[in-house]
Amino acid sequence: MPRILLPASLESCSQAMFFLSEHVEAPYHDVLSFVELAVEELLVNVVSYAYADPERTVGRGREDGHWGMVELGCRMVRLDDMPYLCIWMRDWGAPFDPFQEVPLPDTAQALEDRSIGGLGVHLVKNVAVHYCYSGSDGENTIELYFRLSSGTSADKI
Amino acid sequence: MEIVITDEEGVTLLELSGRMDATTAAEFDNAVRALPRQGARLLIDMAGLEYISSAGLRSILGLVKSVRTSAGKLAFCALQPMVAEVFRISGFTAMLAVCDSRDEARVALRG
Repeated sequence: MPRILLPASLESCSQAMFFLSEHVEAPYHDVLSFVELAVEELLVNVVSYAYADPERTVGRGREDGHWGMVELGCRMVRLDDMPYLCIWMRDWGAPFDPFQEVPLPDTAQALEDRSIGGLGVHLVKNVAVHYCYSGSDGENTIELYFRLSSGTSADKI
Repeated sequence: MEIVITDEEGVTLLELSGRMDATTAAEFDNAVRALPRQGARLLIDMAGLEYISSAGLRSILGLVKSVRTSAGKLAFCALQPMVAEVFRISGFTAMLAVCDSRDEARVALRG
């Protein structure tokens, strides 16, 4: 199962994108840019918040050298007999479920009322068909599931 | 990302290409900082822009608000499918002047 461990910094963005281009299988290349988008948004969240407050960090991340790191991986899965690309990301920072804790923007607001920012998690929720957070033992793990774009045969998987 | 800025008949044309993401959006911010002059008309051609993330949207929205504050106008055109979908999901398509072609965008800037 391909995976890569990276420092939680913006400089890791390009390595994460290269990892995806190398390991996302060909039938999913139609949705690769949306996979990249979701990974960038989650990575930026980890870079900005996960390790900002060392006092909130518990668990084994500090003991086993994962402090300040983020891990990214991908695998092919079948869910209810349907093929999906599963992208997962793990950090060892403060417990945080972005899908529950980040307020969603009102995308119908007029320009004058729109605040600048706050769209990242909204984008992730919209480009992945399933998203999942689990936090345990000092780890935050997010899984995203992507489906083949319409017109691509599931037989190719 | 690459940003080419030219003036055409009173309209400032910005041609964007490459990727507008968390690592490149600041380049855009720096390039457009001086553009929202009083009554400025900006046409942003995105034909070469293959990728945008929320960091790019943040920069775009910042520019749009500055232009609006300066009583200017701004129109976008030629979005690639990925960028068009991100604009749609974010509500930008409904909120901004998003056109298929430069000609349509020029008309929108006149109106």
